[in-house]
Amino acid sequence: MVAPAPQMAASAILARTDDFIIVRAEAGDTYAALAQVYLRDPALAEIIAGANGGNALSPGRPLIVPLKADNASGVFADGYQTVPILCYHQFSTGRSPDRMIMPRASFLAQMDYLKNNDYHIITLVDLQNFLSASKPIPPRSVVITVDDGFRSGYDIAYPILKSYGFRATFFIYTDFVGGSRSLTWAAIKEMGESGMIDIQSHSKTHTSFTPAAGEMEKSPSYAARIKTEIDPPQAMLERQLASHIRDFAYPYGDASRLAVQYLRERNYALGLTVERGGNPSFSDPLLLRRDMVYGDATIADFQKYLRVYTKTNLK
Amino acid sequence: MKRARFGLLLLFPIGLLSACAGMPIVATVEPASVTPALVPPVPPAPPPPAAPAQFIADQRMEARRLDASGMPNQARQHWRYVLALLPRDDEATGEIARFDALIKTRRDAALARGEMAMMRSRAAEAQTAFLKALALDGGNEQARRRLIELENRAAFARQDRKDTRTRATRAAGTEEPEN
Repeated sequence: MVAPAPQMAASAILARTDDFIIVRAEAGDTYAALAQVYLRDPALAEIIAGANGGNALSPGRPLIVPLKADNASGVFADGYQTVPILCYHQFSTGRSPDRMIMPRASFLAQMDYLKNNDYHIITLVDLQNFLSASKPIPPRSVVITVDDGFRSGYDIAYPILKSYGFRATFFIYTDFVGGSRSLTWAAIKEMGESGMIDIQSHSKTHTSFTPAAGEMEKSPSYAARIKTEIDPPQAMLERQLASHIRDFAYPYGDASRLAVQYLRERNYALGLTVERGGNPSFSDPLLLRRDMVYGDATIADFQKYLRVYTKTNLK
Repeated sequence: MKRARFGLLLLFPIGLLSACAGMPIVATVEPASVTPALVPPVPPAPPPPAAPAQFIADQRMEARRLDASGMPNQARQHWRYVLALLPRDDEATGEIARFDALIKTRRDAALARGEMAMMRSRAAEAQTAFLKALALDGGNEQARRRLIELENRAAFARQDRKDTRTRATRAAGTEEPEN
């Protein structure tokens, strides 16, 4: 549910219910300003615009302001909203033969594409609100994540993200911190404290959760291994950053039934795989899809990852 | 003492009546020191804004269009806008009641089809049915739970296939898949 609407001049309000109000547009009103006043978030301007058929504002004209999502599930007669989660790893100043390394110029072009095509970069907390149908998100919402904790995330991606005002989540595996190519705790703290980067867990050693040869998912040794990959990095990140760790990116994107169950018991909010595709509101929060963006991806490839709506006839 | 108690008992219902009427009890005893000239005049309440006729006509038209397009819950929402502005509008009241019944019938039928498909392990059919239920009733918990269950099953089926490939790769002595 959206925060209660603040008080406005009574003359501007024509009708009020629990889930919408009807106001008379004043000179100088914009959808973003109305979203700031009534939904406490200018990024939700499109929700008000959508409720009014996308018409341009004109003074004196009545406007519908939804206080709750018209349909918080994001499922409509012609399809349903999905949220793509982009997944990056390393960055470089020039081209690299390694597909896991994103050239700076390509990353810039991709962020530029997002900005110029009305995509809204939301956080994993926003996504969690969408999954629990507790708060609406803008129609073209996208999440950005960066895995592992390579130093290039700080040197190259972080300044670019900041320049665009795009918030992102960095998933760190703690054994990697402080290595020659990896982030330092100081850099991780700096990014975390900036408010632009959310730091979350990506295991301790980055070993796949797929059971090894001869290892059974129901065996005590496998359970112990999973706990070791989840609990110590959580404790270390929380100690270092003085913040709450609530999301987990599975190493290699490999979830297992036991790992999901364990995360659920430990009250983790989100678990992220690398299965391609957007996430509808009815996704399992601990088995979210992500789209890995490779270093050789063209803008046409990139566009394919931005699946924000799945069209299907539901009449 | 008894007189005082009796006086209090008499005051109680008077006070209660005054409170129910929304009037402060103290107002019944006007202090002599306050002269009427010092009491600020109560400003008249602003007149209620006139219902915008064109906007209401547009909402009625849009509701009818959406109804004809097979989108009953969206049509219902536009009748709610009309009713918010004209609380005694008979047409809006009637249409909302009609849509409530229609949506419930269609949603329950979709849920039943979904449950039947689940029993028969027809995942795609079940998903479509539960999606239809959710499109009609966005807050429906049964449809939402079932859709998450279907997503969960599909995710683990994909992971099981990936695990099989990973084990084969490991057995062949080649590298782990990317990420």
